[in-house]
Amino acid sequence: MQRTLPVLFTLSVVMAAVAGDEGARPTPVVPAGAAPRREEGTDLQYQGVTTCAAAACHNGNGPRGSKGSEYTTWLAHDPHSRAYAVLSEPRSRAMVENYRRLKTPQGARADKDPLCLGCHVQPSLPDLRRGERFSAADGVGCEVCHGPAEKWLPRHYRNDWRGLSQADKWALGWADTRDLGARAETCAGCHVGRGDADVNHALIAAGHPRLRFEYANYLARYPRHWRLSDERRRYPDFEARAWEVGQLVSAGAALELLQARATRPGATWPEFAEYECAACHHDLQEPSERQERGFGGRRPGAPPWGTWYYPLLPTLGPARGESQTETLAALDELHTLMARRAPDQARAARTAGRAAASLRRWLTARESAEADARRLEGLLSGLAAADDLIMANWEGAAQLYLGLGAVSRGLRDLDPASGERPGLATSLQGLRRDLDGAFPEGRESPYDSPNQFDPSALQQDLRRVRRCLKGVAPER
Amino acid sequence: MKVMFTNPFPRKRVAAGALAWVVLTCLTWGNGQGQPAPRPAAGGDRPGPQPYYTAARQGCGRAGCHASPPAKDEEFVCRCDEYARWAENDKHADATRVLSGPYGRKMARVLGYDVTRTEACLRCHGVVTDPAARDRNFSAEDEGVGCCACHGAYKDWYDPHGSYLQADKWRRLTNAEKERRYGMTDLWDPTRRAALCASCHIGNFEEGKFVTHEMYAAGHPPLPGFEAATFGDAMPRHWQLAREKPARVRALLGLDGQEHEQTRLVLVGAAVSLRESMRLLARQSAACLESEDPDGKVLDYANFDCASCHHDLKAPRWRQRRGFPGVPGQVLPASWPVALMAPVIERAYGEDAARQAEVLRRHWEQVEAGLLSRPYGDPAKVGPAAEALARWADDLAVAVGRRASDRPGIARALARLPRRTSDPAPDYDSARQIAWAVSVAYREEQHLGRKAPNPRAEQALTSLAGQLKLALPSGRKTDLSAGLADALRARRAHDPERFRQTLAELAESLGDE
Repeated sequence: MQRTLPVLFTLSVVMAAVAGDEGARPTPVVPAGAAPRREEGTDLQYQGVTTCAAAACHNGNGPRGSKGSEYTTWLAHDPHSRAYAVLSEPRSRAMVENYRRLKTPQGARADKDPLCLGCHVQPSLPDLRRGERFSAADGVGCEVCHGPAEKWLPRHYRNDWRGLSQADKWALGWADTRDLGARAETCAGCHVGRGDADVNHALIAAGHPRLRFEYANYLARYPRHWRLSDERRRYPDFEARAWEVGQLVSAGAALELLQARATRPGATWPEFAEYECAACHHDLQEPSERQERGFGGRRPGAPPWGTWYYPLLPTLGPARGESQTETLAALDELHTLMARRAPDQARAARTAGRAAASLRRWLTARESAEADARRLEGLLSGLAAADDLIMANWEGAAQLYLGLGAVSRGLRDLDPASGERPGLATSLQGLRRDLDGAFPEGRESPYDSPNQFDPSALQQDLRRVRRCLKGVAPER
Repeated sequence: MKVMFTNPFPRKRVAAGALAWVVLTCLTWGNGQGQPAPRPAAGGDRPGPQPYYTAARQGCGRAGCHASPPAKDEEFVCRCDEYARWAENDKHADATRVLSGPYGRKMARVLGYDVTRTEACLRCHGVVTDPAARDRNFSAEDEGVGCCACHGAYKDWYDPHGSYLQADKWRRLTNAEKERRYGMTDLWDPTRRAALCASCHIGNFEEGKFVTHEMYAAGHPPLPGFEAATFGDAMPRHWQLAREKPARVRALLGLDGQEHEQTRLVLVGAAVSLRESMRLLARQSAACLESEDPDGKVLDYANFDCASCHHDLKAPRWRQRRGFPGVPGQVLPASWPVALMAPVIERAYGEDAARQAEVLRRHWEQVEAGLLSRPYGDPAKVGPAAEALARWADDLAVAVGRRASDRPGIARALARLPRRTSDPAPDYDSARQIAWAVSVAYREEQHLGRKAPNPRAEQALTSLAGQLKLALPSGRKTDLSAGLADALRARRAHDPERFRQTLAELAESLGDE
C-alpha cells in the first residue's frame, strides 16, 4: 500500500529545491515594523472573489503563480478555494452530526453551521456586509486575507494607489499581506484557531483533523499567487524569518486561544486539545516505549501540555530581551499548571494572557531586527543541540525538524558562501524519514497516531545533523 | 485433617493431623489491626474471631493437610492437594514476588517509590498485616495471595475445620456460621466469592485496594473486565465443582451434581461485578468531594474506560460510527459491567424483568450523565448515581443468587445478547464478558446434558476465543510480558462487527439443538 506522507511534510523537500535561487541580493530591506492588525469586525462591505476575476485583472489564465493570474492560481491550485465545498462532503456532515449530537444525519449541515463557516468561508460571516457578488460558496476568497474591498477595489489599480501610505490603504480596508507578521496573524486566526473558531477536542473527536500550524512550512507548501523573488527581496533571510515570526505569532495565537478556552462560560475544562494527542491516544503497548522514556518530571500518566506551539521558543536565541524572559517564565508556569489533573482555570487564563502580551512585544522586537547571518548560525546550532525535544514526543521532534530546515535555508539564502552545509539536506531527510516512520504502515489519513515514535533513531539523525553543521553547531 | 470415607484412620495421616492440631492450638492469639472486621458472633456466646495470618506453606501446605492428593481409594471432602496446586500453578502464589521482579522494578523506577513496601501495592499483591497478628513463619515478601487472603485470616477455624475430634460439630455448622463465628470465608456462596475476587480484580476502596492511573502509566497491566467463573478456572481451580466431587461427598455436603454451578457463578458474578464497580466509583467520588487537594477533587482517570482515550487515532473508525453518548471526545466509563445485565435480570426477576431493565437503564444513564457532564466527571453527581446503582445491583445479586440455576437454554440466550442490547458496537471488554459467559454456559450444558459436541458451536467458540484472546494467562510458568503483549494486541485488533457475526453464528448453531 502506498505510504501517504504526513500533511506537514509533503512539500518541505520541494521547498528545499525551490530555495536554491542564488541570484545577487539587493541590499536588505528591513520592514519599518509590524503592520497594523485588523481587529475583529468591520463595517466595510465584502465584494466577493468574482470582482477580482476579470481576465485583465487577476484571472489572466497564465502559469501558476504568475503576475496577473492570482485568481487563476487560487481557483485552480489553492485549497482555500474549496474550503466551502468540502463542507458538503459526507465526512463534514458526519462531523456535524457527531459534534451537534444530532439524532439523524439529515439535519447535519456543515455548510450552514456558523462554527464551520467561520473558517471555511470567513470570520463573522453572519454579520458580514456583503456585496451582490459575494458568495459563501467561493470559500476562503481574496478578501479574507486582503481585506474588505468596498473602498479599495476601485482604487487599487489606479496610478495614485502606489503613492498611498500603508496607513491610508489600511483605512480603505486594505490589509498588508506583504508583512510577514501581519500575514502570519491572518493565517493563525483559522489555522491555530480563536475563541469563536475553536477546533477543540470535541470537534476533533467528531472527526475534524487536529490543527498543527507551522507558518514557514505552510508558506512553503502554499500554492503561491505571488513571486518568491519579491519575498526574498523584502526579506533576505525570508525562510528563517518566516519561521521565527511564525513561531512567535502561532504561540501568541495559541495562548490567546487558551485564554478564551479558560474564560468561556460553561466551557469544557480542561480542554483536551491543549495537550499532545498521542499522549493519551495510543494503543496500549507492551513493552512500552513511553514507560522506558519516563514522564519528564510530570506525574506518571499526566499528559504534557502545549507540545506543538511552544517547545522551540526557548531556542530562539539566548534570552536577551525582557519580553523573552517574561514569556518563557509564564510558559514554564503554564506547563506546571496545565500538567495538573484540575488546572486552575482562572490562573491559566491570567498566565496565558500575560504570556501572550509579552510574546507580542517579543514579536515586535524580532520584526524590526535586521537580517543577521551570525544570529541565524547561533539559532541553527541551538536547534541542533535540542536533544531534549527529540526525546520528549513526536510533536517537539517534528517542530525541530521544520525549524532546522527553515533556518538553514534562510541562512543559505542570506549568505550563500558560508551558509552551504554539505550533507545537511541529506541528514535532514533522514530525520524526516524517521519522523514519518513513526506512523503505521499503510497510513490512510492525517488522523493517524505516530505510534511507532522512536526517539533513539531520531537522536542519531540529530547527531548527523550536528556533524554536518560542524564548525557552526558544537557537539554537546 | 480431612473428613474421609474409606479407611478412616490411616496412621500417617492421624499422626500428621494430631501434630498439626497441637501446633495450631499452641499458636498465640493475635490482635491484628487493619483487617476487615469480622461480624460479631451471634448471641454473644463467644468473642468474634480475631484476625491471624498463617503462612500458606507452613499452615495449610503441611504434609497431611493440603499438600498432596490422597491415595486413589480414599475419598475426602477436599482434594487434599489444594496448597500444592496453588503453590505450583497459581499466579497468586507469585503475587508478592512480582513486585521485586523486573516488572515491579520498572514500575518502582517510574513511580519513584518502593513497590515492595507500599501498602497500596501489597494490599492486593500480598497481605498487609500487623506483625503481631501473623505466625512466625509468615514472610511478607514471599507470601503472595495465600490461603488466608481468600479463606479468612482467622485462626479460629484452622483447628476445627481439620480436626477429627471436632469434625461432627464442624460439619453441622452452616457455611454462614463458619464465617460468622470462626472467620472462615464462605466461598461456597457465589456472591461472597465473586466479591472477594473483585476486591482486587475490580477494586475495593475501603480495603485500600485499587489501581490508580499513575500505576497504570508506570506499567501496571490494565485490569481486564472480570468474570468470576472464567477467572476462577484460570487460577487454575484448586477446588472441585460439585459435579466433580465423589457422590458420597456431595451427599455429605448437600450438593447437587446436576446444578449449573458455573453458569450460576457467571450470572451472580456479573451482578456482583456491577455492584463492586459502582461501589468503587461511588467511594472514589465521595473521596473527591472531601479532598483538599485541587487534583484530588477530580476522579482519577483509572475510573474510566482505558480504551476511551487509549486507542490509536484512525479514521474512519468504529468509535465515530458508534456515536457519542455525550460531548464527543469525553472520557467514557467502562461499560463491561453492564454487558451481561439483560440475562441476569431475566433470570433474577422473571416477569418483572422488563421493568427492572428499565430501572437499570435509568440508573446507568444517571451514572453516565455524571461522568460526562464535564471532563473526568462531576463527583457530586457521579457518587450518588453510582451508589444507587450499586444498591440496585446488590439486590440483583441476591435475587439472581436465589434463582439462577439450571434452566437450559441460557447459552443460547447469552449468544443472542448483543442483538438485544442498545450498544451497537460492544467494546473489547464487553465482548469478552459475553463470550466468556456463553462459553461457560455452553460447556456446562453440554457436560450436564451429556450431549455430543456441536461442531458449528465449537467452531464459533474457537473463533471467539481467538478473536478476543479469551484464554487468560494461567499458571505460574506463563511469561507476564509476552502474555500482556498478546492481550494488548487482541485489544487493538478488536472488531465489533466480526464479533457480532461470530456470535450470531453461535446463536444460530445453538438454535439447531
